[in-house]
Amino acid sequence: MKVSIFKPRTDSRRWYTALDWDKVNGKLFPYYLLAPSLIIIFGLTIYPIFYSFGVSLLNYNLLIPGKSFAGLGNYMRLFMDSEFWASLGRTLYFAMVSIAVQITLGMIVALVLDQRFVGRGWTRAIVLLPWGVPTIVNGILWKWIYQPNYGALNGLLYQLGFIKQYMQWLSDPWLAMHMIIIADTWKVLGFYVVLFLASLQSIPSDIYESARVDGASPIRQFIHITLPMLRPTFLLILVMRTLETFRVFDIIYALTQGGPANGTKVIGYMAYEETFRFLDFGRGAAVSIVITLLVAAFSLLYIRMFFDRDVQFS
Amino acid sequence: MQLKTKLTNKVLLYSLVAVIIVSSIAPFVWMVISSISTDIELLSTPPHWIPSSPIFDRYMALLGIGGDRVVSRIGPSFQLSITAFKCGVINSLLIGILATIICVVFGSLAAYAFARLKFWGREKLSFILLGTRMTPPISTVIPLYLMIKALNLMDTRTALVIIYASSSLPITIWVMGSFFQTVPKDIEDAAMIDGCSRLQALVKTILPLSAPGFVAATIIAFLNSWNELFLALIFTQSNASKTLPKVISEFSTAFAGIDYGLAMTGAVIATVPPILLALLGQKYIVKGLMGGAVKG
Repeated sequence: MKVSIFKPRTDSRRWYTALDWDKVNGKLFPYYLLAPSLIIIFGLTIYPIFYSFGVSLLNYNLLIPGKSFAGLGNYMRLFMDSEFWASLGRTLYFAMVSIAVQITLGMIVALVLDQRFVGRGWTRAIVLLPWGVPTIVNGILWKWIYQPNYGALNGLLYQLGFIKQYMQWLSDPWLAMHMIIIADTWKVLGFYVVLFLASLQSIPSDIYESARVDGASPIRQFIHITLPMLRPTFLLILVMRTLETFRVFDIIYALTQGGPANGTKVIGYMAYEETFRFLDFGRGAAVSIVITLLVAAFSLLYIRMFFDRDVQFS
Repeated sequence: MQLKTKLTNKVLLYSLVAVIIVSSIAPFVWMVISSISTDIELLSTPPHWIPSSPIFDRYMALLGIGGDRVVSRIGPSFQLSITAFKCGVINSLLIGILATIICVVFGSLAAYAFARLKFWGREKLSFILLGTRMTPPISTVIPLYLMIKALNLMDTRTALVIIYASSSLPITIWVMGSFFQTVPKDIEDAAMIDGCSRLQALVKTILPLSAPGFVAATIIAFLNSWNELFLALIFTQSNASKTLPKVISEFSTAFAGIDYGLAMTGAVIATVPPILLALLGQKYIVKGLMGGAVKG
């Protein structure tokens, strides 16, 4: 087939008439299409990642004039810093608790919404609504709900008699972490519910029928058919969620700014603070490189699991 | 006996559904209620769940209806936040639309190449694409900061348009590519036999047929930039470029104390577009974001 978007005028006296331009263009055509995107992606994502590594090897603090080569100094200092390991631990804790809560709740909600009832379509749409809320709006909304004196949570729990006195929801490091997880779960759960629903619906109904004929109870059906069939979705959410934990920022920024007593300072927030609050670019870059490596490791896992076989562009 | 268990099952099911619906909506409802409650009601213990005399002054002020009279009723000290909010809406719209156009135009070309054409390095490039899709903004932000500063683009909309376009591009390509693959190749071949060039075939057959992919990619790209806070915090300072998320974050931190009434009003306004888009394109977005990982 002829492709001619950059076909030069044919001129017998010029050297390039020797080339079959249709053929060359045909071979290059995919690259013409890719060029703008690749330039943007390489220039603004891939090159900066390497650049970041370069910065992480420097003593580069905006508060101290000049910069000098530091070798792996930033990394050494980072790995000796207990606050770094603590924030890594918090990230892991955040990931594990939110995964456990969101997978369990997501599956329960999906199982309920998979039943037949009046208004099922509407309910499914409603469940996905919080997912559309901007994360910063979610943060500020929950900050208001958690507000110690006038907040809705205290008011509600007090009126219902669950608490005897108003609580300071975000003043205790441990409690604050869990309150953030709750606020985050409210926003993202709908998306996981939809994922679960999609895979629930992909389970062929004749499997259930034959199980029923064989006399399997609903609980046994759930354990032996539903759970194994949902395995890919579990894995997907597991990896997606872990990757997302490294991005968690907005909600922490809105609710606690990493406090109290650094109790909610996850690794991503630490990188932000080191760089843009303490203006230590070298150290901030080192933290961001650690994050990049962790994300890369998890992404590889993710790609291996889901995209290797059937969904690669082919 | 059977009838009875059936009935209890029904009751159980509907009460579960009710719990699910209420917990999904309740925070929204509270957001709206807070935005129309008077200051006295907002600051009452226990909370007034239903405002006795709802006011819409804050909406009018933030949307620029009613002029100075409304602003003075809310309190002149909020003049700055109100101006910032109005600028934020315009900045967010402009930045979002421009970044989305770049993403969809360039992304669709690249997606077509990935979905349809054979070329050297294709596998490696699609792998890189997936990798960049997962890259968190923190991984690239320091060099971007230095670059933007060197280019003198600090605190401009241009900077955010470029950065948002680059961060949404991989997912746009991915989503559109997976939709392009669903269009039968025969249709395209037929168009080319009828004398279309490959580019014409792309524009005339595949694009219309993969309209859902476009809808999904457009919505995802727009929402990405509409909702983004982290980069906006770093690259914007003044009303010239501040986006809505940044302005809203300032409602809770910078301006004269926290006024939750105004903050919730801003929150409601900022939430309306994404919710509408999410509702309209729900089916496509979910399909697109799952990237074929779960077949449903």
